[in-house]
Amino acid sequence: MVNITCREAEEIKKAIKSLQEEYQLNNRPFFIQEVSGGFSFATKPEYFTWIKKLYNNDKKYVLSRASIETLAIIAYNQPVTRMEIEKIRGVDCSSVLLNLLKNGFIKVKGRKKIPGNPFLYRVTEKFLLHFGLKSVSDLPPLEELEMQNEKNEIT
Amino acid sequence: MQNNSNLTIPKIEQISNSVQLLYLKVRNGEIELNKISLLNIIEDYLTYLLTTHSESINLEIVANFLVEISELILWKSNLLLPLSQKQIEEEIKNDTIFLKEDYWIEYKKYQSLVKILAEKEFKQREIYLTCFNSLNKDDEIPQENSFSELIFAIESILVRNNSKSIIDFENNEVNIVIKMEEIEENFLKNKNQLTFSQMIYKDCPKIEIIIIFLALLQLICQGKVDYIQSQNFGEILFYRKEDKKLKKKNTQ
Repeated sequence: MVNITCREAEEIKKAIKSLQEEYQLNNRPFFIQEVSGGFSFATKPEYFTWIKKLYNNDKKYVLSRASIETLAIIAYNQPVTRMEIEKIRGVDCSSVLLNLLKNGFIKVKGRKKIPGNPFLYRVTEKFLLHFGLKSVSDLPPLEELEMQNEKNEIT
Repeated sequence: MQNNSNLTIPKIEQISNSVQLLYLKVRNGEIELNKISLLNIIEDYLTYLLTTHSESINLEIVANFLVEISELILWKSNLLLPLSQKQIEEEIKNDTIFLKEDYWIEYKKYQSLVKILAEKEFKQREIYLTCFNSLNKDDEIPQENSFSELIFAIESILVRNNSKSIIDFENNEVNIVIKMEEIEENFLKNKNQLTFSQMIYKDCPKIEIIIIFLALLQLICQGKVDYIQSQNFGEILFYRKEDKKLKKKNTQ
């Protein structure tokens, strides 16, 4: 967008914001969602059943708990090896990783310079798009989650 | 003499109570038994008994002292012995309990994150994105060709190929040098672009697939050939390196 319009990114962001406000005011069935470091037109959730009928099938993935857990570990510790993921999860993750790789939620990003040279995994843009995240830093910090868990235990 | 008169001699019950306190503290692990000299305590107690209660002694109080101090002696002497298998197992068990606690704290963090992500996934499921444009596409680092992708490719081809499972190295006529020349000729025939499947003919023996793979690796090492993979587990395209610019123009 910066290349096409020859404008500064900040200027484009402002224009997008004004469009977002306009769509909201006029109660349009779509809005602009900031996702994965970019912007995309998105349909409002209340029209989901109709759009689903239009597409005739629900192509969206519903990830298993194990897959989400693995993705969460990769997102917070990336680049991370399979062994490091397994250490946290406590179970074998090879099949989960293969499925995530096949579906493009993660990618191999080099090898760790330790004996055995294991693959290093990172989350992809598809992961951010799937969960509607702007970036990985959009996720709450782990310390915050720890404090929340402690609070829950006390109460 | 004046000083001696001011000294208050402790009663035998008081001394026994302090030994009992020591016994309880050692039992609860509040005091390290290694750091206490039981011999000094016993000697002091005996001199006290001989000097103050030489004529009449309350046997019940003294018996309590004897039981407690002998128990302490037994514990201390046990400390000198090596740990039994049962004790070692118990210590390991205690250590693992601590480790498990740390592990659970760490694991629980990710568990609560799973909940957050599942909620986000549910919300996002009802939203259809039309297109995706990144503002910072130019800042993106171009994805390097990973060697792992090549390994995946050769593995999947070998799995798909059900020909001879036993590799006959001795009676093999094809070698890497011949194969390299063959590949370079094929590049010329196919507009300097080849996919892995184009290089492998039907019922190609496993040994030949491996030789083709090694020849390709050699060509990559020599800088003559490069490869790209448009998507995960997609077909890998090999091309002559000097034609990279031409290839870019074609794709644009």
